[in-house]
Amino acid sequence: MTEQKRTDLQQEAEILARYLIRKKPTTKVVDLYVKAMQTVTLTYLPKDYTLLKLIIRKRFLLPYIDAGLGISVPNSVIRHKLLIMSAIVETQPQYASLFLNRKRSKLYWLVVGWVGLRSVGKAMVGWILLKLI
Amino acid sequence: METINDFVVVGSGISGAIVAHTLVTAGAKVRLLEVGHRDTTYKDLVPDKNFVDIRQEEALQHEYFLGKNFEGVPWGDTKVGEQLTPPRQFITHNVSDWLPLESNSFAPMESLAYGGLGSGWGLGCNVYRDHELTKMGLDSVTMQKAYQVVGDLVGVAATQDLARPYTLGQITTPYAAPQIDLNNQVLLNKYLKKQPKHTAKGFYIGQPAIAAITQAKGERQALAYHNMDFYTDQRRSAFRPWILIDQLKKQANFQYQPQAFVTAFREENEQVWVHYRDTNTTEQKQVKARKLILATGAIGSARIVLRSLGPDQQLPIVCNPYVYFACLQPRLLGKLIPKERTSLGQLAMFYDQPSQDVITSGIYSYSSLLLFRLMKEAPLNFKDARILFQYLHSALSVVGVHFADHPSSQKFLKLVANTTSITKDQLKIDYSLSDAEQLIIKKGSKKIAAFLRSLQCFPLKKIQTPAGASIHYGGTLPINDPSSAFSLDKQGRIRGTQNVFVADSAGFKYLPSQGLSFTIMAWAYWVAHQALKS
Repeated sequence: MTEQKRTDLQQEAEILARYLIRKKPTTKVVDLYVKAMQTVTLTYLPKDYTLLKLIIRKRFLLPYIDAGLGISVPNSVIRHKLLIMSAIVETQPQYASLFLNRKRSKLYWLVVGWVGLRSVGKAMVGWILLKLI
Repeated sequence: METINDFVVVGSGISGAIVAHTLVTAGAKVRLLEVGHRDTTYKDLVPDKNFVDIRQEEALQHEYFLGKNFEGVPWGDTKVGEQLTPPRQFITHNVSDWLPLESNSFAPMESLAYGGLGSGWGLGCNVYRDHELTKMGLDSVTMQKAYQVVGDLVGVAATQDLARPYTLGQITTPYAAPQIDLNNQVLLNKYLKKQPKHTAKGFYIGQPAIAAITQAKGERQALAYHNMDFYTDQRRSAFRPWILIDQLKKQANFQYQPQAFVTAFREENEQVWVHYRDTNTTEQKQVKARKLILATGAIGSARIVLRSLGPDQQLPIVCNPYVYFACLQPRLLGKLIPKERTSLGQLAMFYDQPSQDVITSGIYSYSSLLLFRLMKEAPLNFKDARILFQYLHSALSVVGVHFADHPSSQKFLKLVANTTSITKDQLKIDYSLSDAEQLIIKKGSKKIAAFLRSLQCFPLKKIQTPAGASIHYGGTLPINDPSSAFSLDKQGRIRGTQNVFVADSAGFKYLPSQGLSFTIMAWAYWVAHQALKS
C-alpha cells in the first residue's frame, strides 16, 4: 500500500469514527480500519466513488448520505465501511459503554422518539441528496 | 504389513463420537478417520471471563469477536455458516472444496471439523415420543434405553416442567436446568399466569434440556454463566463430541487418524476396504476393517454410499423447515440485565395439536451478540441505529421455529459429475415444499406469532430461512424403506452389505420438529451395539 493510500484511509477512518462516536478515534481504531480495508473485499457500486469523495470533502453530509443509502442502496460500499467501523469501535473497551445495555429512566422514551424522528428526517434529506448527485 | 481394524468409524461428530466411545469401551480395536479441522487461531485467545467484563476490559476482544480477518463482520446476502462466530468458523472450513454442492433450492451446512457440526451445536436435547420414533423407523423400547445411556454419558441439564414430555421425557438426570435470564423469566411468568388456558390451546412452555452440566464432573466444570457460549468451550461444561474423542485418544485400542477424507468403500471376503484421500496430498489410500460405521451426517453418508454402491441413483432427503422472529418485550426496555447469564437454551415452546406434527420454538435473548449485526439490518443511519439499538437490545429476543418434515418426491439428492472437484463429482440437491406443507408453515408461524403477542412479546420481523438452514438433515438412507435405492435395516446396516453400518440421521425417514441431535446420539449407541453383536 502506498503512503498516500494509507493517509487517505486514515483520514477516512477518522471521519467515519467521529461520525459514529463523536470523538477523535484512538490510533488503534484507525489502524484496525486500515487493516480491514486491506483485508475485506469491498464491492463498489458506480456512485460509491463520487459519494466517498464528497464525504471526505463535506463531512457534514455523511449522516444524510448514510441515512439516504440506508433506505435506497443498503449494499453501498459507504454502508459497508460504516459497518466495519461500527464493529471496530464496538469492540474497543473505551467505547463499550456506547453499546452495552444500560439502565434508563422511562423519560428516555423521549430521547428515543427524538432520535427516531431525526432519523426519518435525515433519511428524507439523504434520499433527495442522492437523487441530485 | 497391513493390519485389520475391528472397526473403522468415519467422522467425529455427535454420532461418530458416541459410536467410537461405545466400541472402544467394549474393547474393540477402532480406527477413526476424518479430516478433523481445528481452531488453531482463537482457541487460546478468549479469556475465561464474563462477556460484559471482556467488553469493558479486554483490549484484544476485536480479534475473536470480529475475527483476525474481519470474517465475523457479515455483509451482503446471508451465507451458510454466517451465524457462526469467528472462533467457530473452523467448523465449515474447506467444505466447499471437499464437499461441492449444486443446488438452487437447498443450502446445507456440513463440516469437516474435529467434532463435526457438534462443535457448534445449540445443545438442545429432545426425546421423541413413541409414535414419532415409529414414524422415523425406530424402535421405541430400544431407543428409550439408548437415550438414558447417552444422557448419562454426555450430561444433560433439565427440569421437571410442562415442556418435559417434549424434552427429556422419562429420562433421568442429576443436573438441574440452568438459571433462566431475566428476559425469559418475564416471558415464562406471563405464560404461567394463564397456563391452563394456554395448555388448552396446545401451547407448552418450559426450559429445554441441554447437553451441558451444571455441577462439575471430572475434567468438566459447571456452567459458568459467562455468556460466552457462542465463542468458547473452555470449561467444557457444554458437551462437545471432541471431549469424548480426546478421552478415547488415551486408550490403546483407539487410533485417531485425521487428514483422511473418506470417499468410498468396497466389501471383499467379509472385510471392508475403506478408500480415502490424504487431505494434505490428495493421494488416494485405503484401510481394511472387519466392519465400517459411517457417521458423517445424513448428507455425507449419502455421498459415500452413492459413490460406493450406485452413483446414478437418487436418494430422498428431509430437513426441518425453519423460520425465526425478532421480537420485542416492551416491559424490559430500559432495564439493566444482570450480566451473569447464559446464551444456551433458555425457553422452549411446543405447539401440540391433536393429529398434527408438533411445532417447536426456541426462545433466546439477544445478549451476547454485538449490536453492529442489528445495525446492519436496520434501514437507519448507523449513528442513530446505535442509539436506538443500545436502548432496545435488552428487550430483544429471537424465537426460532422448527417444523416437522416428511419425505416427498420433490426432495431428493444425487451425485453428478464435476471434473474440477477433487472427487470428480458433486452432490445435487433438489428440495421444495408442497403447497400443503407451505400452508402448514404459514399457518403455524401465524399461530406462534399471535401467541407471542398474547404474552406481550411482539414479533417485529419474520425471517424465512432458505431450505437447509435448520441444519437438521435426515432420511437419505431411510430405515426399512424398500422404495429407496439404498436403505438401512433395523440394526443400521446398509441393505445389500454385510459389514457396513450408518450411525447418523441418514436413517430417519421423518423428522419431528424437536431437535434431532439427542436421537442421533441414541441411534449411534444402538448401531454400535448391533455392530458389536453381529
